[in-house]
Amino acid sequence: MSALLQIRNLRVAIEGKEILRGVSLDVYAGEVHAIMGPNGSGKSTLAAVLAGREEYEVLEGEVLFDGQNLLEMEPEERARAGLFLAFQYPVEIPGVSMATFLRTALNEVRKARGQEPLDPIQFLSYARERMSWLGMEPDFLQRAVNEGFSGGEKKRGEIFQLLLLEPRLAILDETDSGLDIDALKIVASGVNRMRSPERSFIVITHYQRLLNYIVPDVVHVLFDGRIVRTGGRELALELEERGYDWLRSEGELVLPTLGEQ
Amino acid sequence: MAAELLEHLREQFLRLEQTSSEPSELLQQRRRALEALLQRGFPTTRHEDWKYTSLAPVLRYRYEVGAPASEELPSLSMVQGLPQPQLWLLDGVPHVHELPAGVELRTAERFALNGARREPLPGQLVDVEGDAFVALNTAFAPVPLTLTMRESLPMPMHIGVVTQADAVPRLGQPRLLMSVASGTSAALIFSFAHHGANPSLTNAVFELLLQPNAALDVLLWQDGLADAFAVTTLAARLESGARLRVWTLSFSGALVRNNVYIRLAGGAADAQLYGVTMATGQRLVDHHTRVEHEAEGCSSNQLYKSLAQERATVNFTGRIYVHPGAQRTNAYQAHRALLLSTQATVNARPQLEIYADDVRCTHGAAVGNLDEQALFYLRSRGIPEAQARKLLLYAFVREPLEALPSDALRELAERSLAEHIQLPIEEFA
Ligand SMILES: Nc1ncnc2c1ncn2[C@@H]1O[C@H](COP(=O)(O)OP(=O)(O)OP(=O)(O)O)[C@@H](O)[C@H]1O
Ligand SMILES: [Mg+2]
Repeated sequence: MSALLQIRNLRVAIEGKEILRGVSLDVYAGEVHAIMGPNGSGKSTLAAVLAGREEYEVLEGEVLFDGQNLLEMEPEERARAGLFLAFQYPVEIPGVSMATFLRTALNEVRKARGQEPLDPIQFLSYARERMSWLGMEPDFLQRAVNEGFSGGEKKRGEIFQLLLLEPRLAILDETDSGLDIDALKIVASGVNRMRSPERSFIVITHYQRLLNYIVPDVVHVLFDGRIVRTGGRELALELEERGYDWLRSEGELVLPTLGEQ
Repeated sequence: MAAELLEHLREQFLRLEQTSSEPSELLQQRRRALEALLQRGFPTTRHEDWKYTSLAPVLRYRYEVGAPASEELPSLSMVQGLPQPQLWLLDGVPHVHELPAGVELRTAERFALNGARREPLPGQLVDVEGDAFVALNTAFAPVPLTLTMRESLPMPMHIGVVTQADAVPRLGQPRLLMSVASGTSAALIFSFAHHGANPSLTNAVFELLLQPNAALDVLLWQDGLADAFAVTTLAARLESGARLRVWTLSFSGALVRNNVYIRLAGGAADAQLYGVTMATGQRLVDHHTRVEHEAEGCSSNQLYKSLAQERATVNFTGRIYVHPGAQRTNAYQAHRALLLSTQATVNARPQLEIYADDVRCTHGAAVGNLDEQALFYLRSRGIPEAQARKLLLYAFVREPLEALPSDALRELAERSLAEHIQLPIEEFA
C-alpha cells in the first residue's frame, strides 16, 4: 500500500529565496507525524504549500495525495479531497458568520464525498454536538469568522473545523501555541477522538508537551528547509533537552526519512 | 445632444402649459424652473458637483414627459418579498392602492388654492432654479404631491416608483413633499423600477419635513432599474429632536445619481445615512450627501459601502457643513469601497466645512482590494473560489444593512443584495 501523502524532494521559494530545500516525506493512513524545528526553518511554508497557497514557487519535486498530483489542484479541490490545514494564524473575516462559513464549507466537502447537503437545522445539531466535544460556547456559530476571537478561541475554532469536516489528512500548524494547559488538553482530546486507521495527522509544534497528549508515531526535525532527522517520540524529548544546536553541528548531513527507507 | 433634449423639453412644456388648468402660482413656479433649466443647461463635468459623472449617456435621448398613454398598472415585479406598494408613482403619476391609516395624500395644487396654507408649496427644501434636475422636475412633475403622516405607522409604507418606456424614451418625475407629524414615527420604502424596452430617466424629488421629535426611516431601494437612468434628490429638514435614517440601496441602473441633503434645523436632531452600492458592468453610481448642522447638539453619521467591479464607477461626495453656533455637534462620515478590477473606478471626496468650535467630526474614505488571506482561508475549507469571492463581497458591503429597523426588512435587503452579487441565497441562510 502506498502512503496517503508522498512528498518527493520538494523545493520551494518565495520572493526568490529558497525556503524548502528538498523535503521528502511519506505519511501513511492512520499515522501521526510531528514536525519540529527552529523558527523560520520552513514548517509553515510546508503546510501552506500543501494547502495550496499560491504565492509560493515550487522549484522542484512532487507531492501525491492519495495518488493525485496535489500541486496541480486548487486549494478548494485539496480540501474536498480530504486535506485540512489548521492555520497557525486563523484569518478574521468580518461580516461572515461561522455558521454560514462552515455550513457552506461542509456542504461542499459533503458534495465531493457524494453525501447530501445539510440544511440549516441539520447542520446546527451536527455542529452543536461537535462543539460540545470541545466545550465551546453556543454563541460561537453566530460570531463572525475569527473576528475578535482570543488566541485560544481561534485555535479551538480550527480544531472544531477539523471535527466538522472530517478530513483524511489534517495538518496542525502550532495549534498548541497560545493555549493554556486546560485548553491544550481539550484540543488534544478532540484530535485524539478523530484518530483512526484511515486518518493521518501532521502536527507542527515547538513543544514536546503537546506530544504527550497527541502521541506521534514519527518525529521529524525540519532545519533550514530540510528534514535533518527523523525518529520516534523520544526525539522530541531529546530536542526539548538539547535544543537544535547539536543538529546544526551535524552540519548538512541529511538523514534518511521514513519515506526513503 | 443636450441642446436637442432641452429644445424637445421646451416644446413639450409649451404644449402642456396651454392645456394646463393648474393654479397660476404653480404654473409660474414651473415656468421659472424651465427658464432656469434652459438658461443654465444640464451640468457638465466642468461643474464641481459633477466632476466625475458625465451625463452624456443620459442626455442622448429625447424623453417624453407627461402622463403615459395607459394608466393601467403594468404587471411589475417590485422588490421580491415586499408587499405590493400602497402607492404607485407611475411616470410620476400617483395611483393609490391603499393608504395606511393616518396618511393623507393631496395634490399640491389644492394647497396652492388654499389661502390659509398649513404646509408649504413644494420647493422649500431644494434649489428649484439652481439645480438642473430639481428644475426639470419642478417644470414637469405631473402631479406634485404632499404626503402627510399624522399618526405613527406600525408597518413600513411601500411606494413603487416606476418609469415606463414601452413605446418611447420616457422621463418619469415623481415629486413628493412629505411631512411627519411631531412625535410620530414611520418608515417609507421607495422601490425603483424601469419598465419597457426604451431608455428611461427617473428624476425624483422628495422633500421631507420632520416635525419635532418625529422619527422616519427611508429606504431608497434601487433594485429594478435595469439599465435605466435615475437621479434622486432627497432633501430633509429636521426640527428639534427629530430622527431620520436613510438607506440608499443602489443595485441597478446604468447611471444613477443619488443626492441626499439633510438640514438639522432643530436642536438634538439626528440623521443617519447609509448606502450600499453594488456596481458592475459599466454602471456609474454617484452618491452626493450634504449634512448641514444648523442647531446645537445634533448628530449625524454616514456609512456608505461600495463594490466597484468590472468597468463600473462609484463616486461619493460627502459634505458636512457645521454652521456657526452649532455647538456640541457630532458628525461622522465614512465611505469604504472595494475596487475589484483594474478598470473599475472609485472617487471619494469628503468635504468638511466647520464654523463652530465644539465639534467632533471624523471622516474616512478607504478603497481596498479583496482580502487575499480571507479568500485563501475560505478556499482551504473547500469553498470554490468564485463563491468565496462573492461571500467576501457580500460580507464587506452588507454592513450598513445591520441597522435596518426590522429583521424582516434586513433579510429582504440582504436577499436583494445577494441576488445582485449572484451569491446563491441558500448558501448563507
Ligand atoms: N510571504 C513571505 N515573504 C517572504 N518571506 C517569507 C514569506 N513567508 C515565509 N517567509 C520566510 O520563509 C522562512 C520560513 O518561514 P516559515 O513561516 O515557514 O517558518 P516556520 O518554520 O513556520 O517558523 P515559526 O516556527 O516561527 O512558525 C522565514 O525565513 C520567513 O521569513
Ligand atoms: Mg510557522
